[in-house]
Amino acid sequence: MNFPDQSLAVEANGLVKTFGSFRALDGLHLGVRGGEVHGFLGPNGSGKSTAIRILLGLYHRTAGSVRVLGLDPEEHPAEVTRRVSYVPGEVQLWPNLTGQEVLDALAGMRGRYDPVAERRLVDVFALDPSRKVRTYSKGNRQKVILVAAFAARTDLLVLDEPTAGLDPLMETVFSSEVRAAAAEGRTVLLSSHILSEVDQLCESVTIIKDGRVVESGKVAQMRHLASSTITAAVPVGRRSALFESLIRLGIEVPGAFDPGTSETSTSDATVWPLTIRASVASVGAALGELLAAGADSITCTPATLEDLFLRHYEVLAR
Amino acid sequence: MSALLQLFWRRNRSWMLAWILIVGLLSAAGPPTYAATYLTDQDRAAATSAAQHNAATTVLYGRLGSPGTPGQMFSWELGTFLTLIAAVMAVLLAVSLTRRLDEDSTFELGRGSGLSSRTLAVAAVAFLCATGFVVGLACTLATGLYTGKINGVDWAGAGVLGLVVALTFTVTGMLTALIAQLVPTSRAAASTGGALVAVGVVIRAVADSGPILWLRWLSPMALRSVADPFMLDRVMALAPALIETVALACVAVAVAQHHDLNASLLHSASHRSSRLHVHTTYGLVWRLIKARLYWTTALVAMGGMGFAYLGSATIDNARTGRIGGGLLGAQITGTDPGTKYFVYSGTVLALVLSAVTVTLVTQTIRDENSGLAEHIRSTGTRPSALLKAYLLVTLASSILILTLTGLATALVATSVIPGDQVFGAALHGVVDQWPALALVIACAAVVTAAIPRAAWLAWLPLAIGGTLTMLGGVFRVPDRIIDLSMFGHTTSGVAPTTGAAPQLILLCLTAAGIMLALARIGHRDLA
Repeated sequence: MNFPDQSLAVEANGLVKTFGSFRALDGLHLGVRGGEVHGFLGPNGSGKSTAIRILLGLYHRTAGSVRVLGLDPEEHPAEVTRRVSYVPGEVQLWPNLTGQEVLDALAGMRGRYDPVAERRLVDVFALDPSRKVRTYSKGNRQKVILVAAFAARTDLLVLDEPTAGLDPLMETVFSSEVRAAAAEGRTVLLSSHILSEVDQLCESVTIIKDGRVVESGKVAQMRHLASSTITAAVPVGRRSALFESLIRLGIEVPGAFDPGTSETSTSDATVWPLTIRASVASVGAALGELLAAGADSITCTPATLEDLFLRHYEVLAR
Repeated sequence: MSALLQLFWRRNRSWMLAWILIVGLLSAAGPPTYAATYLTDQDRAAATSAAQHNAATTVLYGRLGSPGTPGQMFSWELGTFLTLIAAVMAVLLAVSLTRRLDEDSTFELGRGSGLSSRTLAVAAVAFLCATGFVVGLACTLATGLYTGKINGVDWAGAGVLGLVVALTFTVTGMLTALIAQLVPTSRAAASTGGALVAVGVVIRAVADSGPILWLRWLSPMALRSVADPFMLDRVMALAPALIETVALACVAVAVAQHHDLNASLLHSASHRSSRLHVHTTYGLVWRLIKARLYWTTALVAMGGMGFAYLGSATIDNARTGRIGGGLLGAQITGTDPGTKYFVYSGTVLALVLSAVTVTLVTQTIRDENSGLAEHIRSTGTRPSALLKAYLLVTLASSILILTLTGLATALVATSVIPGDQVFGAALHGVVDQWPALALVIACAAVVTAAIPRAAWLAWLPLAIGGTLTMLGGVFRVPDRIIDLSMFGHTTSGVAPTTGAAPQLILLCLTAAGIMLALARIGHRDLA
């Protein structure tokens, strides 16, 4: 089951996909190491689902190269998908079959699944498999496909918005199953808009926009490179000197030159609330300046995935 | 309201236009065909007398009045099919405007956009009424154009026939719109609506055969018998149907106002503990379409038996030279009317079965669009697996259905038609149509694989082939053109060229089409 030597389970280089004149992917690069949980983020219409479908051989690429589990999905679509569990973004199932019959059909066609794991997953996801699919809610349809995906004996899980429709309790179950899959050595490519979920589960992420990668790497490293947010309560009488010191460090101080922030302002307050963003290189010096200025209630928060992500969200409709 | 009506039109226009066109074409082709069928007035009178005393034709079409003008014969025989087409179309449209919109959340969107359930229901019944009017108008105009040119055809009769077709449509449609709110799924609604149409046909048959004439007032399928177009033209006899339409529409709207989204009065079993033992795409496809195939087998076999039951009088008329032209004349006159009649009836059955097979093969496209194909593909199946499964199951089922139908037809035929080779002729008349059917299936597969966004093209070979074979002779289309149709090239068929050679060509074309389709589908994106 383990992908050998932590080499790349998914590798896409210069991936281009056009639909007529529309360029859905524009030279996308994606690398997912074997055994890791990799977040795949991007605004709506950024090309995530298109990229996933190319990885599974469901779409043909216009240009570029792709290897999934060492194989080209366009050349060997069946060989690739036999080793991949896929949860699509929109789950539609056969309405006249029961949940169990859908699980049986998918497992039977794949030929590689773990019946014990399936029973356990049906229990933990609290799924009633004897009900006909047409009576299922969106969340229950999602559960059927999640059970099928986790119970299949595959090396790679490709999950496109897998928790859409799940309640918070089931989201927790999902997270623990992803961790268990990763612990077994399975690779997980997780496309999601729930940033807290990605933040908790993923070791690395790729953020794409307009069909191109805008950020990619280990989450911890990306946090490290991004600005931290520092808040403090600064004595009013020391503001001007502190601001000058911070500006000398290259830190932007919001409202530093507003008339209300000078020592001669008529406000009765004795402390001034301050929020600044400092790069990893200047955090230490900034904290030192704050302490020297007698600042109180100092907090320093590293960048969240949300911070990393939201700055790429401002996009034109595609 | 107008936006809703536009939405209904946009969602249904393609198949609605096709059905309205069929009604128009049948109405236009009918009168001249019946005018040309019999060589002399004496032949027509004899055929009319035979039909009036034939229990089988009475069961199928009702009572034929005297003197049996072409207009009367058209209304009696083809009018029965026109009302049947209108009723089936009404069932499909009513389900599409009610339960299906509930299932796909369109009603929820509408309610969420400020539309009341009453508005939605009123729009649905208004659309049904408007469609019924258009279908009736198509029938009236296409038939009425022969006024003064064909004996027995006049505008009054054409108007009454159009009204019969329109009211059959609206009564059936309103009844189905009401039922669709009581049953849990669109499939159940369509099945129940279809069953009611079948019950209506049976009531009409019993009423005419009995005769128990009052029974005719209970069935929308008996409106033609009641009004008797081109003879008595009883417009006022249709007033109860109009009142029924209005009453059913009011009840349907009233029920809709008290109907929660996705709710139903009747419930089907929603739990089942069975397991599904499938290991291939073939197994899954068989499981998904087997119910449709069982129903198709039953209906096509019943059609074959019906044709066999009706055959004795028709073959007798052809043998004695009473039939010389028209649709029947073009198909069954010649050296051996018996054999030709069975090939003709087999061709009709093959056309019906072809329509079912086209819907089955193009199901691949619908599965791709709905995302179901994605699940199948992601289990490690090849890109061509789903189409291959639909193809194989459809091809195998079609030969099985034709064989069963052929046997059923042959058994009935031997009991009602004298002759030594009736069994063989009846069996071959049906079974020999398989190469034509296979080619229709292959053409549908090519369209599915190559141009899934233009799925309607899958119907073209069937429509063109069927029209050429059935109507080519009537419209004096050259033989070499009629020969291009895939239908009728049986051992002793209705096509100009018959025998093993054309059958072999059909099979070669089928093989080429299937290979092309399977090769192409692997090179395109999922639809």
